[in-house]
Amino acid sequence: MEQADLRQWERQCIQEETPRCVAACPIHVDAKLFCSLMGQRRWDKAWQVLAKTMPLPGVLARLCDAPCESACVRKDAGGAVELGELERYCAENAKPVPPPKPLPSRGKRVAVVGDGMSGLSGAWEMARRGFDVTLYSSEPGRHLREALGERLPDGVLERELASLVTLGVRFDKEMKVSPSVLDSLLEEADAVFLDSDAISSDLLPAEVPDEITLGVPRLGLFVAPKGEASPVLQAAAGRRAANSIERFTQGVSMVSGREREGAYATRLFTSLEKVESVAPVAVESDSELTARDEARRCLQCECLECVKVCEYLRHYKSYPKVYVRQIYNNESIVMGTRQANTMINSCMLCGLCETVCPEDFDMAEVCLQARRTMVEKGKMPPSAHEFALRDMAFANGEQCVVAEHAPGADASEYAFFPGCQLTASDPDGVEKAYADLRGRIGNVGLLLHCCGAPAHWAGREDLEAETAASLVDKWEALGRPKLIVSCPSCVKTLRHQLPDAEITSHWSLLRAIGLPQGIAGGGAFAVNDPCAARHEPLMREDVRALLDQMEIAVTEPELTGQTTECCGYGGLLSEANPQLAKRVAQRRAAAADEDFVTYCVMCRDQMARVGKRAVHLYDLLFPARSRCACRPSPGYSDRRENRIRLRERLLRELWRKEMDGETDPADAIDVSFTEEALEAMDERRILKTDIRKVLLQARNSGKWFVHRETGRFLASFRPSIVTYWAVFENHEGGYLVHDAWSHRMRIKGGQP
Amino acid sequence: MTVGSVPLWEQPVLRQTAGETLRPGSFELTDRGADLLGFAPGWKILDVGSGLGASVNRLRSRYGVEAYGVEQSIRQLEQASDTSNLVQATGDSLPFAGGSFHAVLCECALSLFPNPGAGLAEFQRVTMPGGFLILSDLFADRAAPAEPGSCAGRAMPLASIRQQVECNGYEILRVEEHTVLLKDLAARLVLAGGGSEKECGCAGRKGLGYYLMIAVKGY
Amino acid sequence: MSVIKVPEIDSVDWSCAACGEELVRRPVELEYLDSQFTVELPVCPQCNMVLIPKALALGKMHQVEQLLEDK
Repeated sequence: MEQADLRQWERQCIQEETPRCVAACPIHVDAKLFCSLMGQRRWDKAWQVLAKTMPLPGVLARLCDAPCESACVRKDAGGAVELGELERYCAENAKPVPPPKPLPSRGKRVAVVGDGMSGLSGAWEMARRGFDVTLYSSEPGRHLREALGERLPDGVLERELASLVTLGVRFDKEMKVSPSVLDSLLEEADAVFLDSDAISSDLLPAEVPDEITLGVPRLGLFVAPKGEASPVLQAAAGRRAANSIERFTQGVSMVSGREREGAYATRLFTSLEKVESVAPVAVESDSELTARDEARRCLQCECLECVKVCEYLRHYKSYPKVYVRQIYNNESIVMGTRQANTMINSCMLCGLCETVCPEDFDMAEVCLQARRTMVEKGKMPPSAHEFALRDMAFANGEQCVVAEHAPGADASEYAFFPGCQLTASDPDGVEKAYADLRGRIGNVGLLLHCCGAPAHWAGREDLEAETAASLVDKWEALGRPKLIVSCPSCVKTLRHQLPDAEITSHWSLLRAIGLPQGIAGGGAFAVNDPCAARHEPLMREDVRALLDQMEIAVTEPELTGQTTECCGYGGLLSEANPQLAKRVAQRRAAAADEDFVTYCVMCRDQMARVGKRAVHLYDLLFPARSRCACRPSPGYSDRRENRIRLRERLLRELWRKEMDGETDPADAIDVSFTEEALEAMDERRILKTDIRKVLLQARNSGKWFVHRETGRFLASFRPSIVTYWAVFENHEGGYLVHDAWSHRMRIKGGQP
Repeated sequence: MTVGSVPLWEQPVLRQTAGETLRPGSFELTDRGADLLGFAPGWKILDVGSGLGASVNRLRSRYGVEAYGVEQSIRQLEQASDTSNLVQATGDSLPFAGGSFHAVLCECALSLFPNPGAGLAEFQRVTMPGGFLILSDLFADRAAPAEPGSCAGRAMPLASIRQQVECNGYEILRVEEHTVLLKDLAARLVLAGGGSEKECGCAGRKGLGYYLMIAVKGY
Repeated sequence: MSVIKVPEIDSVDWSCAACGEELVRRPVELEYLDSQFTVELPVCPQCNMVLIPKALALGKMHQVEQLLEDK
């Protein structure tokens, strides 16, 4: 990832964008924090939030006309939060705070003429920044008192005027400022600020002040816009003048970086989808609870749309803008640990975040690219995807691959491509599906091969290309048939791997040619769209049409179709981070009360692994007693067995090919496993064949350990990069295995 | 482009259409030049061909720079609202000491000089070493027959303009094309104009464009 | 390299069947990726067969492997 890419991604995630109220406030008071504190009845802390930003807070909070209210998101859910009322309540009930400590004097003098809100605010801001301010007014505060005095309780204005004195403002009540006095002020002081509405108009220059700087052609003179009635905008003018005067006296640009000085539009998006409409609570100055309740109507705006729908994004306790920086930093680390590797490998690459994000932030793109970079640089942790890639290699090996024309045919118009997980999980369904296709379509060949999705997800472009080459080879040898593909992930992947092939999903085909005989119809299910079907509206529609034809009552989970959730297998999450994958599966399982019907077998198996009843469409189209909603997900060893046996069976029965049986001696060993052993092996990704190898090694070498109490044996073997250990005993001519474990660390010069 | 003897840029319709500035783009290119160079309080800027003084006022109000204007036409100066920073003079004979300014600005005026080269030499003279030149004006893709006194008639090819600038002691830093502003003004003139004014020939002619150039005077 | 002693290894229950010997603690060299460690592990004094108990393999060894992988 380049820095430019990082900035672009960071910009796309709007979680840190300003809430609308803060952006709409001309002086950017943190209204969101204010409401949070008011909602906790922490009046003093809330007052400090206001006093931090507001000039003359005691006065301004009482007079504030709250333009923030017109921007408040709550206005569409009952009515804007009554921020003006809350400000007044706080002013009445919180402990006053002293004015801020001013910066040390810069030795720069500023004259302020006019004591309206603009003049007083300008004086406040500039004194705070260390300017030597003299405010010219015959009776400071009179203009403000005349304009808005009835809204100010006794003593409030006086206290703020006293604060101005504490800040170091000097009041000059004697000097009558005429145009010639103004001229000399401009000579002597470093800058002059005029409060247009509080002075005689003969002092005003002819030109309207510049909207960004409040400057006029006469250098050093700054003028508040005339006729501004809003107290907070008057205060904002005072602050703007202070900003300009600061830049002017420092000789730095008058304009750069001032785009967000006044009110601006923010990109933050806050969903109102699940927000109940609640009407405003009338705030009464002697009732704490009314203030608290009104403040609690504040939505505490933030986006987090993607985090709301994704367990993975929620798990890392932050949001994409932060994540992408963590990933960028991770890539840059030359020495030391890379903390973000697991996070990068835990994204399901499913595209849900991109779909719900108001700015289309795509975590999948970020993570997939990061994985590729890790692979390129040799930084991908071997154990993350190794098992899945080994499994893919096995599925593409000679024990599993089938590429044949229909029995008796020498050409294929179509070829059936069920995908490597269907053959592993439901070989019976595959067999029946193939038979059905042959019966009704004719020359349908069979192509059993992995599409390469695991390699893609693992960031292994080399293995992706290797798989593609093998696929192209076999597809061409079959005469470039149209492919009938069952798995939506295969559909997606094959489009890249075989760009010249015509690909139809089995579901769309069935809708076109009609249902097979003997289906199990009726019943009620919730439909689970696999995440690979997210951008396949036609496929999703065809599936629903099939379910309808089968007279199945279908409920849609809340997140469905384009917004469907991944089951936890996507992106190889279940390999790289099994604990998180389990939670993801559990979350999906809870999305519906009904049993699930789905059309990706991995979704079905993931649901089964967390105890959720689920069927694959094949279970309904080609029913059998053994294939019900409660059948468990087959273990890793069984998956391999299934593929091997399916191939053998089909070649023998359909194509009359005998196996030239070069049996692996390890396979000849008679071994059985206890329940505990099988469970442990599945959890630790240890295959039965791996244990067979251990037993064979033990038998051949005569070396093993024996347990003093149980008399059981313990032996090990390292076929390649993992060492396997097995606890076993002799049993009816063979062995019974009780336990197994493995490790990758190698014993130097140790046993094989 | 004239009607009677009053040049287009002195006619009310142009003032009304283009705003107080009498050229395409209003303040867009003035601001762009100022932003690119980072104008800051304390800089001294000269606007040659300042017209009614709008740019001078703008630069002072917005950028806080000490901006002055030189304008040849007495008629224009009489119409300016405030002349305290404006001086009557021709661009090829500037009443300032050498090296007085941080930057000289000349917008939509150089092509009206009888001798642009002499003008550029003067600009260079009154600029401090390391100071800047901001030029914006028409240019032509092919040599146009000169219509005496009109903007469009005087437009030169960009290459010749570059050459002239470089020959007068400047190094060109940047040239940008902003022809869209020209077409926009021409369109508005068409809409705003009644029957008696002839249409501005500018944007209608092929191969006419508008440029912004920034150059620096060597040390 | 200094030898690392791993306290929780309890392996007194296993002995070498082929040699009939009790296991003793000896330094064993382990390696993974680019790292090497010398750890005291139960070994048959006669044939040098090393025992890696389940608790070690699934516990600290696994932790170290993940750490070295930066997982």
